[in-house]
Amino acid sequence: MTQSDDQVLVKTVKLTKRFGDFVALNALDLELRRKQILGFIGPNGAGKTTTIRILVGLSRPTSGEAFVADCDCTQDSKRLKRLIGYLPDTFGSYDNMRVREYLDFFGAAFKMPRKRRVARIEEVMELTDSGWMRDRYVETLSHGMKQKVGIARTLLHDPPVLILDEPANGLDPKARIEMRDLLLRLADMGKTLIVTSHILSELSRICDVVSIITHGEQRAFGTLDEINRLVSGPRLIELTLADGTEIEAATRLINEMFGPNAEVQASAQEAQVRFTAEADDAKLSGLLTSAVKQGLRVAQLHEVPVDLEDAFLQVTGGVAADDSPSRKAN
Amino acid sequence: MANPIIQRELIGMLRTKRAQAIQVLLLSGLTALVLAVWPTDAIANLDGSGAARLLSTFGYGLLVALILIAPAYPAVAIVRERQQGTLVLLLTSGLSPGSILVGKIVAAAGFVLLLIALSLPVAVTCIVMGGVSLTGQLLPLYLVLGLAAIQYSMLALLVSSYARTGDGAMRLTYGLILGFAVLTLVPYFLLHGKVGMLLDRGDQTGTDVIMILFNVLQGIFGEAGLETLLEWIRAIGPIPAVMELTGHGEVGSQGIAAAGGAVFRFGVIALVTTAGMIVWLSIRLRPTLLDRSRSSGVTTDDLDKRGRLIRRLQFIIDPQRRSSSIGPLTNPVMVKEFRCRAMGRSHWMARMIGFCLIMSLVLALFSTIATQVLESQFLGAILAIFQMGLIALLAPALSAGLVAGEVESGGWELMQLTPLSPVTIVVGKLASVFWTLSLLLVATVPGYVVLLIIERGVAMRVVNVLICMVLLGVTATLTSAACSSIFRRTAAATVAAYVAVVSVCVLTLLPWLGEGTMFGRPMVEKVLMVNPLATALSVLNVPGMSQYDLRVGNWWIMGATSVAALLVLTWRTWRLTRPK
Repeated sequence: MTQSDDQVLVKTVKLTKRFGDFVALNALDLELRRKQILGFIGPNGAGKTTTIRILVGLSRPTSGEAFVADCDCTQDSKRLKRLIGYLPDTFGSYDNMRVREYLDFFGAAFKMPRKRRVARIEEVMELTDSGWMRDRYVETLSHGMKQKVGIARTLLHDPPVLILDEPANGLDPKARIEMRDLLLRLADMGKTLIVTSHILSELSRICDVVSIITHGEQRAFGTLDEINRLVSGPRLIELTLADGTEIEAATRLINEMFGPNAEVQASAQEAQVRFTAEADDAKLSGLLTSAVKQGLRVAQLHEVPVDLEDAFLQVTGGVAADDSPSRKAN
Repeated sequence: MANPIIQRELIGMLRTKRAQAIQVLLLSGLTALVLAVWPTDAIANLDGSGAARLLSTFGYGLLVALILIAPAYPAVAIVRERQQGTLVLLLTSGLSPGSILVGKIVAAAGFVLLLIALSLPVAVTCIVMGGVSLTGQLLPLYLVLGLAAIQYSMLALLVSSYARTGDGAMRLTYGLILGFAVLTLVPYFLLHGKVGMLLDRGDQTGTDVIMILFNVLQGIFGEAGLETLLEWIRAIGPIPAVMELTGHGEVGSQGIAAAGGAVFRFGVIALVTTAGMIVWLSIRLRPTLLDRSRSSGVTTDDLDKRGRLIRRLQFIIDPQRRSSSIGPLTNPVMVKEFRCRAMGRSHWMARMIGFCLIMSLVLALFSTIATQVLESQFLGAILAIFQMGLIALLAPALSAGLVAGEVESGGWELMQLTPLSPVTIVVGKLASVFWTLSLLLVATVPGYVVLLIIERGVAMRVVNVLICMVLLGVTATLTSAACSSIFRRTAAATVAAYVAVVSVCVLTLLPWLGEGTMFGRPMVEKVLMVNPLATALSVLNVPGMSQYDLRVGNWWIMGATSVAALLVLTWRTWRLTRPK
């Protein structure tokens, strides 16, 4: 990592937003460095969009601070507009306008000189693979096409930070893969990204940092490993045998070594035993030695990683979307 | 089982605060009207003129309210369902096409018919005052209003089934209704009683196009048939029928006796057109309504050399050419507004300007011929009414979606993320409207040139009339834009803008009808001062308006209203660009 990659580009300090008695966001602390991708996760109404709207200057916080590249989001909105490219969850379409005209308008709105604008439009269309639709009318585009044009629009003025609200929402599998590749490419180009999504498996593949938020409160923040460690508790271990007939002996051994709380689940057909344990690596090594001594033919012994979906459910306590109780200010 | 569409739409609408407000406002206005005319000094008006005046003011007031309110809901009834994706649910539900159609029709016409029914107590006071016939005047008046309500609702529904956006549907519906109500009066006003005279003159000269056209029409219809045709064209809108029922059938006849029968003719036309529109609508309301292909975005630039050459010969301005980038000194918001507008592209502007130019030249030609039989002030009046109508129709249509449309489509938020200042946004949006209006109005100027050639002494009057036009254009645009910044939905902003403009141009004429009995001269003059059309007509010394001195007062009022509207627009736009 170079020195410049350590630069903090997005930072919030005790960011709070209240609408009357309702607390939409409570003391949120975030820190994001250059080239990092932040996965911003939470059920509907958790406070994600509120945070984003404060960061892009569309909303003012009740208290706390938000900075993008050292620019105060609440004070210097003029500078902020050039630092951020924002893709909202709605496209913001104009009737009777072709894609190139649509991008041309936003380029002109950013006061880009005509020659540079024309070249830049070609660049961003190529980057987002939307060049072939340059003469299409924007209102006739499919959802996936609109997302590409939307990202092209956010890139026009070459901002260092991109904030994308549900970019993969409603996309088919192929388009989702393309979107994922595009986001990774943008990070490689030096952009810092904040991405919200409900498709957690997508985020886990691209995010460097994750923030889980529910009821306006941040429940977890860190790298995926840090989140896993935070939420894992008892580890889930999987023992795979060469032959399903040895399952009973293996189950007995695990129960002897880890006690009745191990929640052993055995499958003779799959020749697998899964169990949970607060065990350290030395104890697991002991298990492997004992199994081999007893003549069990062990094919694999490994820890099942907690995926983002599990982490999210564990952190949020399985809070379903939109069923959050109303939050009252203290 | 009750029709669920009626349940959802009509009953749902009646429960809204807006519907309640409209009912309260209408009843309050009508009650005030009765109180104004009710005798307080225990002296009864035995000739029934008081009741007749009340009936006429009441009838015209209700007609204007109907024209403004009737299209408001049905114009968005289908297009909004399509935009929200509920139309497909409706068309694929268990409801039969007939039920859907009946539900939509009842919901569309029901509210307006209810408003008309609410006015019945006021109508009864006309009978109580004496001098008004129940079967000869009141019942036919209600029949005409009811038919007009249903006819306009059907027209609005039909437009809604074709439109792509709610505000587009609203604009087109209001345009058609105002056009059918007002423009259909023009041929009768111009030619009633003069067909024979013009035909005689045509026999002598027989050279110009209009005369040739007259001769052809005479060959088809005969002289009497031509007069009848004019009367039927005039009866397309409900205004002549209401005029006949309120005893104003001779207005605009220039001393020539009107034949009558406007109520019957309107009844026939309304029934036939309504039935036709219902059939048309039943064909439209099928699942195939949603069967539209997406434009593949073909441009002429992508064609081969031969294809490009053919299109170059075919078009002066090719609609499919690739547009150039926004210039460095151009306001990007203005260009965006032109490009987004259905008829804002240069090829459409050229077509519209061409149409206005042709209309103006036709009017000039008519004017030149008609100087044989008409006074010059009548010619000026026709041109003024044409231009005023154009402004009243176009200014709200162009301006009412300026801000509301942007907020509704989500484009406003994107614009907030750019460095565009509120001033740049407001200037760009207003410039797009002013340019369009100016080009269209300039295209109508040749008519005045003809007037000046005919009578040179009216130069100053023409200048004053043009100032009235410009002021109306500015005021109507700024007021509509201010409405657009206040309302969140374009449809609501469009209705509010049309209500404001039509109220100024039409409602303020109502006290003029009641001068002498209900209202005194100073009162009428004060109200007319608000009206730019009345001002233009008084400047032109048109009989009926020549006795009022409205010019200076009207200009002050228009100027003050424009400034106030601009302040509201700027303030609201500034508010909308601020972080929430």
